Amino acid sequence: MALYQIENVTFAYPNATKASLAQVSFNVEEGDFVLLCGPSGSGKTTLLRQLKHEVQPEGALEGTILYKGNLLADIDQTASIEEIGFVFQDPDNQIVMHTVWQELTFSMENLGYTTTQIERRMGELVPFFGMEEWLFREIHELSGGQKQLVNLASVMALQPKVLLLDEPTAQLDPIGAKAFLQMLHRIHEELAVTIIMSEHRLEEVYPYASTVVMLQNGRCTYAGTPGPFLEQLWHGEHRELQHYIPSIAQLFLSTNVMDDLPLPLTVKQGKQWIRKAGKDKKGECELFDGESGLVNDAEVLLQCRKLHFQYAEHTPKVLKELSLSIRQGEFFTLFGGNGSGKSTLLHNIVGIVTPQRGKISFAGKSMKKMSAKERSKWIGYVAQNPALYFTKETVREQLVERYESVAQGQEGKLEELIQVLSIADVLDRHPFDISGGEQQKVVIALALLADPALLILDEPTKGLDPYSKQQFALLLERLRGLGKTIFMVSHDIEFAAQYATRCGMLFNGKVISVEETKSFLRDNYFYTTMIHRTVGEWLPNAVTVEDALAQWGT
Amino acid sequence: MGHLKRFFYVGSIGLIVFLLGLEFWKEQHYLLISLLVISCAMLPFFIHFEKRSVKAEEIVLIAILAAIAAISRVPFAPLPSVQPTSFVVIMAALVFGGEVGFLVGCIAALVSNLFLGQGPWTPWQMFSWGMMGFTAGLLKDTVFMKTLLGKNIFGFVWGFVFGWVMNLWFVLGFFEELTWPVFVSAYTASFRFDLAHAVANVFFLTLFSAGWLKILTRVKVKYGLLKPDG
Amino acid sequence: MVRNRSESGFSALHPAVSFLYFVVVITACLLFKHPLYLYTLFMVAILLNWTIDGGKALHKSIKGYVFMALIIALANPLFSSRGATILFYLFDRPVTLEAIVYGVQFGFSLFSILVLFVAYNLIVTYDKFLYLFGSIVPRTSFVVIVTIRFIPLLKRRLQDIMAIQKVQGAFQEGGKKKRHLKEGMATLHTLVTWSLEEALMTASSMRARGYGVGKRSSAIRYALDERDVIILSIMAIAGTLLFIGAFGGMGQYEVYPQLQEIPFSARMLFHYSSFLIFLLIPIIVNGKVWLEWRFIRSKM
Repeated sequence: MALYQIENVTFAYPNATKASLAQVSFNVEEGDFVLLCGPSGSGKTTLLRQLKHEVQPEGALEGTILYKGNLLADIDQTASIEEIGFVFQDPDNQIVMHTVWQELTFSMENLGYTTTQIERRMGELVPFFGMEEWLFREIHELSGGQKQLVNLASVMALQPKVLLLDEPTAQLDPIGAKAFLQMLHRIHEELAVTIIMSEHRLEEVYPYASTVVMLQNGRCTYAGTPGPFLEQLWHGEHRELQHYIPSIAQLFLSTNVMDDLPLPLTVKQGKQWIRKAGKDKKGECELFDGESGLVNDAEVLLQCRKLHFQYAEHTPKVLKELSLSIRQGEFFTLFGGNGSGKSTLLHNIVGIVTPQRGKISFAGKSMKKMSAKERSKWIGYVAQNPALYFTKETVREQLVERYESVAQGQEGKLEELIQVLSIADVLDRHPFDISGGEQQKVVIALALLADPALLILDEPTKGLDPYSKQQFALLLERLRGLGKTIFMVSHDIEFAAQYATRCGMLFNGKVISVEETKSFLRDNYFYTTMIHRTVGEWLPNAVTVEDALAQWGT
Repeated sequence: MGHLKRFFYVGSIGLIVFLLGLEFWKEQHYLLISLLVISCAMLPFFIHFEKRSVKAEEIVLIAILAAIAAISRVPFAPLPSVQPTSFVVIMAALVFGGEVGFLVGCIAALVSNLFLGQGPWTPWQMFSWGMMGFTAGLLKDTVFMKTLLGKNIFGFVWGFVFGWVMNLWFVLGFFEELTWPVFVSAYTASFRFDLAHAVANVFFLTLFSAGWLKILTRVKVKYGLLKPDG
Repeated sequence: MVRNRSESGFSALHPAVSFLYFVVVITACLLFKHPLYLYTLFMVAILLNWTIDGGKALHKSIKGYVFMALIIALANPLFSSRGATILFYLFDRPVTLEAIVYGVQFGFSLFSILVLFVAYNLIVTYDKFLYLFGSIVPRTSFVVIVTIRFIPLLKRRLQDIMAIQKVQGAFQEGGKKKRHLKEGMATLHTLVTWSLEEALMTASSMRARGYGVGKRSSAIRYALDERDVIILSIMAIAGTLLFIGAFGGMGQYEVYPQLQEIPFSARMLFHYSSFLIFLLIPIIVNGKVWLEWRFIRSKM
């Protein structure tokens, strides 16, 4: 018997005009690793929440969901809590207690385990997760990745049979995400826990999955083994879904050399495929100097000269003699590990803090002499979290307030932006009731109202699904078409590889190796795209799927 | 716990409290008596909260509001003697009722003391903010509190009452004769602070109470806390 | 939350022991008026701080405490004209020796209380405090823990919001007070809307992990060990004697109507010894640990 039998499930939230889930049916077998994918708003979270009685949202549910042959509502409460674990998206919001220790024991205390039982479970759990070092730390001292591991461990303390995970790595940096997914893989392999997870990082999860379920507009459009799934996506009618396919698989599928080779997903598999397919020949070397020349001649818009910054007197220096110039019209991306000072640099540039030494100037004008209002004519800052900007009851009020303070008198400015960003539909809604992508657009609109020359974005693609990312890229292109310069700080190499014009890396308080995007990625070994790591040996200039295809001449 | 055992416990604690009170009264230890009195006044709130059924949402709501009340001074750091804690407590009480108001006030006071260090003032602060929340909750459906003027009068008066209660611990404890001149001078000494508190309450209530009531009412619906008031 | 923090000496004992100690000693500061008792309390309060952290924490606030104590000591003779020995007249009111002495007594007891609270905050840390009350009012102390968990999170959010506001032109130095108040309230407005929105997930996560299913148990085993029991018994005996004596009039000193000789008797000596034993418990415990590390272990 299947672990979960989901039959014709239709669900609508109260007062909703349209159902969030429509006629969804599929089975989950014990020991499966189910990857749930689909664009934001396709009903993934709603579906996952239906699978655990305690977190089911209010609304009208039709159809049946059976767990081990029983209706969820009929399962014994303790068993339901113990056997079905749930990990939510945001690492911060799901933590209840003040220290790691308290958080790990929280679930066991709720179910009334004895102290002896709890101690024993902790004795097993803590070494499994390698948490000895931070067991007694306070939650706010942990990184996002560590917090998410604490959440996973706290659920694992009850020894669940099934884990439901709702985009657990969406808010994490690549290293934290990797550590989390590896832990999850271990739990699946070593403890045979059934896993149902929604996730956008297909490259990393796809190899682990035994079943893939695709949701689109609340309908289940695919449920089955991962093998044929990607090919089906590739040949399917929905072009926007092709963005879900990992880049190496995209390259494979584009070459039409199907044969009997399995679909490669990882760099290793990709290289094997290339050798087998006989594509392991040196490509011709054409350099990109022609392209880069244009940008280098443009006028310097933002200049940072020898910045030094530290937060307090006896704390380490975050920026050390940092210099950087951003030119008119370019799309600059700055990479850098966690805690390398990327956000600190942005805070210096936008005026949240001031550097101890050094000079920041816009088009030759020193920033120190500018008022906040004048500065907003030069820079629009879009922080990572859109929620920080919302003070009003509706999106419209929020926009109008900003309009009145920075763009008064410029007729049609607001309407134009609403159209460019296509946010007309959400104007009368509460800023917290719209999706993350929409919130981000509203914040960009707020920044653009002052008509700044430079738009600064702090990790704008974090948590976006592949299709939204593509849409976001198009939006940035449109803004560049309007003459805006873009400066982005990011971990998203694949995104930058496709759209950025120049890249640099922040390391040890300095910006190093600033180069035109393709040569920047081409010269990197770790910090480069999957495609480059796969084909770089033979095609040293290829960093994107398009590059590789162009050079192979397919 | 059996009824007899519970009766025994409650009875013996009550007896001890009574005997101690009597002794302190005789020896004029007014500070100790007043501590006993405020503890007894706060006890029923905690007992009721412990005994009734509480949704997870309500726990989180109280914790968030208490945390906000406790740190609400941060954005006003450059302005001494401005603290919107009372405003947050009153708002919580007006939307969620007296019990939540009491708990938000009381826990906000306790938590800021846990962080900043406890002192003899801790119970008094818990009592004052708790009672401010409780009384605001009691009056929340009256015509008086529905008007802005009513809220302002309430906030203004509590600005002073709060200061007066906070003066009690050292006036009761460290002055030998509780004569009018003693009280009057203590209250004159704190008048400036109490006035600032009262004026800040009026300022915040006038400009921001409508907005906050809207947010919190929206939350009340979203959290599914509309039915019973607890 | 368990006894494996790097605590030693008195802080490492069961929290009930240290909490009880401070309750009794602080009450004693209010009960006793006898100069010897007050002086002993004063010395013990300072000594205790010194054995805990070398007086670092006390150093920070001692100036303010001395000031408060002085105010209290000086205020009494100004308000009270009781007592027979008139020293001089101030604004036509007699200032008496007795009222001054009485004020000094108050000053000493206030100062000792404040100093003891410094030691209290070092020893009965908030997790111990919550553990103690967790068994009496479990739900309330649970809410307190969740509140404490939210505080650093909300503080960080507050700073993030303020940073954005600053970029948009708020919080300029030299701005008007009223403007600052409005901007500060805008910060709180965003914080409260956002955090209440996000906290719905916290509630879901609590329910998903079984909150509210039944009676909660406790992961902490803070059982009394042998040492706790021994110390608790000493405290019980000395404490009972202390209170019996106190209610029998020991440790008192009447300054009115006229200063008397400081009372001294065999009974009082007995009472004072039990008082002293009680007071010195943490100092002896801490001293023993100090000696062990200095002289015994170092020889190994």
